[in-house]
Amino acid sequence: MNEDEDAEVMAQFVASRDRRLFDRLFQRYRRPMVSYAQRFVRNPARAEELAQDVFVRVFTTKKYTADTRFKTWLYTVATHVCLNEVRRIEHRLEFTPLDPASPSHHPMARIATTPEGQAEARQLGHEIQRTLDALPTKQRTALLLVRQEGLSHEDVAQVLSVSVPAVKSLVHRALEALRQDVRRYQEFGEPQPAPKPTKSEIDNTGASPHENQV
Amino acid sequence: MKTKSSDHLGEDILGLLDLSPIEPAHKAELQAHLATCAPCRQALDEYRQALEAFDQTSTNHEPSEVFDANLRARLDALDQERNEPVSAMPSRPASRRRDGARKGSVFSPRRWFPEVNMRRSTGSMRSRGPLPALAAFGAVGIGAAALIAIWLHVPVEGGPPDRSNVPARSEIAESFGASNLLEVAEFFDVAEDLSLYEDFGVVENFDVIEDLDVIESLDEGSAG
Repeated sequence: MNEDEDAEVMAQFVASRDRRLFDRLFQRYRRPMVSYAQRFVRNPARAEELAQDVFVRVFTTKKYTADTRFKTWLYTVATHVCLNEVRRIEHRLEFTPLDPASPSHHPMARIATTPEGQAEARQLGHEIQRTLDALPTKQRTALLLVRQEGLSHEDVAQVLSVSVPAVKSLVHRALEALRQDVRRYQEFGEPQPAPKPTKSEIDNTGASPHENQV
Repeated sequence: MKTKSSDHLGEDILGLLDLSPIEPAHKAELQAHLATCAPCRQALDEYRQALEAFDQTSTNHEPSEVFDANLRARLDALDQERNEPVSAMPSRPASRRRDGARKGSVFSPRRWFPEVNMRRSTGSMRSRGPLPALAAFGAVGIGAAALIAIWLHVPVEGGPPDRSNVPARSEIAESFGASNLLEVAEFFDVAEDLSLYEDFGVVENFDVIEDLDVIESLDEGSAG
């Protein structure tokens, strides 16, 4: 099933409400949607709930035309669902950062072969993760969609409601922030962890310090 | 070629990292530059490490066994709700009506506005929800505000306005060191204007205006 067929199937489903058509799309995108949601919340159970929300919205939509690219439309829905979730204060309060002391906790630690290498990889992985969390949502989402979901710049522009050149800029700025982590790590070895926001800070702002930047 | 801060590649480096489409000729040009520029080679290497680290931060997650079942249950519930005949709605159990009221009818900005944005962005915006209620509430509010504004500007009947705070003419004249207001007006060369204001008392007296004989007698007096 290619992507144009997806759009056709979705348009037919909206017209007929035939569950079999919906199931075809669901089977094709269930795993990408759960993975995509988990990149935002990093909580498997919550990611599955968000992915379900996405498919419920797909199921209940009444306006879809076959000239809309299904994958782009689906990721637009998913991005809105996930960003609504990460903007919730409750999510930030519930979120528990990875424990730096925990061995082999971070995925990066799995690729290193020696204990020293594992420790270094784990440390850098935590730094990268922390930087990702602090990135403005559009930068992080643009990088996620381009690098990990394989969307074109045109599709990402549509998902994020920005221009195509803006997508390039968002991706570059996100990557530049991650690169600075690599540079700091190479220069200082073990960088000092950034201070975690306190509950009162979160309550006062309702968003992370970088949340509203583009 | 763009120039940016410490390296010379700027956003063009995304093309070398397969994060952006790039023309083959331009790619060759960038690679030729890399061959001669050590800082750019280092930057490219750092970008690659950052991307590798980024890729490792997320793993593809296989949905759990209950994921499909849970979603199907939600969709079944939606289907069941949709298929209920309209005439059967009033006879729903009281508990369901309360549930429906709690979920659908009570206005909650936190719940509703993200919903509206979602529907707009996905093209599934429908005219349900509290929008009509909000519009009606706004119209009533604007109407009430207009009525209050009109009421405040209508002069109160049954007596002259309270002028107790207005200083007496003699006090005003004394403040200018004059014996009466006419001297003050003459000093400022506005005596004619003052006389106009002095006549306002007559103009405000509608009885006098309605009495045309009085005006005629004034004309006769001025002619004589």
